[in-house]
Amino acid sequence: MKDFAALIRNLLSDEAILRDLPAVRERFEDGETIFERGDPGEDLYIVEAGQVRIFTVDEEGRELTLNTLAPGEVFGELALLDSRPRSASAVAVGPTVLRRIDRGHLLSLIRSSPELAASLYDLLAQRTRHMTDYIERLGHWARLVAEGRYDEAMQGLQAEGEISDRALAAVADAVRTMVQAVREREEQLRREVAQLRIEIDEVKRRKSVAEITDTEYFRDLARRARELRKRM
Amino acid sequence: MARVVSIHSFRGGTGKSNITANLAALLALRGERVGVIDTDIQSPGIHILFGMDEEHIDKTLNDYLWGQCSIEDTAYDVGERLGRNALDAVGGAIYLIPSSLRAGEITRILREGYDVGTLNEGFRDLIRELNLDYLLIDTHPGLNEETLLSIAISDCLVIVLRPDQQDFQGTAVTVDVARRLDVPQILLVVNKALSSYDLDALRNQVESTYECPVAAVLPLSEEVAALQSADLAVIRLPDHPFSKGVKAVVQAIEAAEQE
Repeated sequence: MKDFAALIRNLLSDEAILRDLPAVRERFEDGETIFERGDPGEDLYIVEAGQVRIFTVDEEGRELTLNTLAPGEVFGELALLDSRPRSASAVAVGPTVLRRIDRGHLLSLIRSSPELAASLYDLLAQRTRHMTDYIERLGHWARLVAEGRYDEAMQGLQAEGEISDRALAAVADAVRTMVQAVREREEQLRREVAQLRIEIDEVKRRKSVAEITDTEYFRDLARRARELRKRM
Repeated sequence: MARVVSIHSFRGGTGKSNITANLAALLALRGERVGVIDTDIQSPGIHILFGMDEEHIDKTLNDYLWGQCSIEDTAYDVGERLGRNALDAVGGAIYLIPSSLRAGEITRILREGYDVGTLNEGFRDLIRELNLDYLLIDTHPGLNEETLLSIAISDCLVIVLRPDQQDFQGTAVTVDVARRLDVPQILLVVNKALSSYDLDALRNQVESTYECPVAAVLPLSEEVAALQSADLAVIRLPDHPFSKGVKAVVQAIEAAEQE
C-alpha cells in the first residue's frame, strides 16, 4: 500500500481544499526542533522547502531515524486523529519552511464534506491493516531468529526494506542489525566451545605411553632417574 | 645444587622456545646463574631470541656431542640482551648453548645419532663449569630418547600446549611418561589462548583433565608475536599479560624449590 503520509498529501493537494484552510507558514533553521516527543499534538505539517527528520530516542539515548521528509510531504498526521502527545520528535534539516494546518480547521472541513470523511476512514483502515500485517511479519522473523534460521529472516527483512514505507523500513533495518549481531555472537561462542572441549582418547593414550615405556631404554632410564637427578 | 628445568611440548609451534628464553631471562634478572641449552637439534631457533646471529656462533652442541670440544666451549654469554648493569646488580648470569644451524651438521646428527650418555655428562659438566643455579633445557618435540633423558634428569618439567585437540592428546602422553619417571614437579603452560576465551574456565578444565597444576595461561598476542622471532617479551613488554604469565611460571618453579 502507499504510505499514509502520501495519501494525506493527495487529499490535501486539492487546491480547493487547501484554499479554505488558513495558511500558517513557519521557518526553521538547520537543526532547529519543530516538536519533541511528548509535546501536545495539535497540528499537521506540510513541508514546503528544506527537509524534516523524524526520530525517536531509545532507552539508552540512541536516536532511531524513522523518516526523512522532502518538500510536498506531510507529517504529524496522527495528531489529526486524536490530540494525544507527539509519538516522535521532528527536527529541521537545512533551512526549512513548513505549512502548519490547525487540527480544528481540518476537522470542520471533514465534517462538512462526506467525501473527505470517507477517504479518511479508508486511510485509517488501510493503515491499521498494514500495521497488523507488519506486526505479524515481525513475529514471523522473531520465530525464524529463535530457530536459528538467520538467512531466511535476513532475506525477509531485506525485501521489507525495499518495498515498505520508510518508517517501517527503519524498523526492518534495526531488526537486521540485531539479527546480524545475534548471529555473530552465537558463531563466536560456538567457536570457543568447540575449541575448549578437551577430549582424550584413552585407548590411544595408553597405546602411545606403552610404545615408549615398554622399551629396555625406558625401563633403564626409569630405574636410574632418581640417581641421575641427584648427580646433576 | 642446580635445578634442571626441561621445557617440552608434544608438537612443534607451541611457542616453547620463546617461553624458555623468557623464563631464563627472568630467572637471571632475579640473580640466578642460568644456562639455556637448545637440544632441539632438528630445528634450532632459540639463539635468535637472544640476538645471536649465525655468524657469531662458532662451536655448538653438535661439536660437543661429536667429541670435538668441551661443553663449556659451546656456552655463549648472552647477558647483553638483558642489560649488563641489571644483571651485575643482582649477580645474575645467562649462557646459551646453541645447536648447529648448518644444514649439513643437522642432517649428520639425525643420520648418525649421538650418545645419550654424552649429553647427560654435558649437562653435568655445564652446571659445574659455569656454576649454574638453573639449567633450562629447550627440548625437541615428541618423546625420543634424548628428550626422555632430559625429562628424566629434570627437577621440573614445564609442558607447553596450545588449546587444541592434538596438543591435549599429546600432553596426556607426556604427563603419563613424566610420572613414570618420577619427575618431582610437572607444570602445564597453555600458550596461544584466544583473548575471547574464558581463561579461568580453560585453566580449570586443563588442571582437572591432567590432575596437574597450570602455571599460566598465556594469551595469543600480536604484540608478542611481532617480537618473538627477535626479542624477549619480558624485557620489551614487561607489563604485557604474556610477560606476567611467564613471571607466574617462574614463581611456581621457585616455590617448589623452597619446599
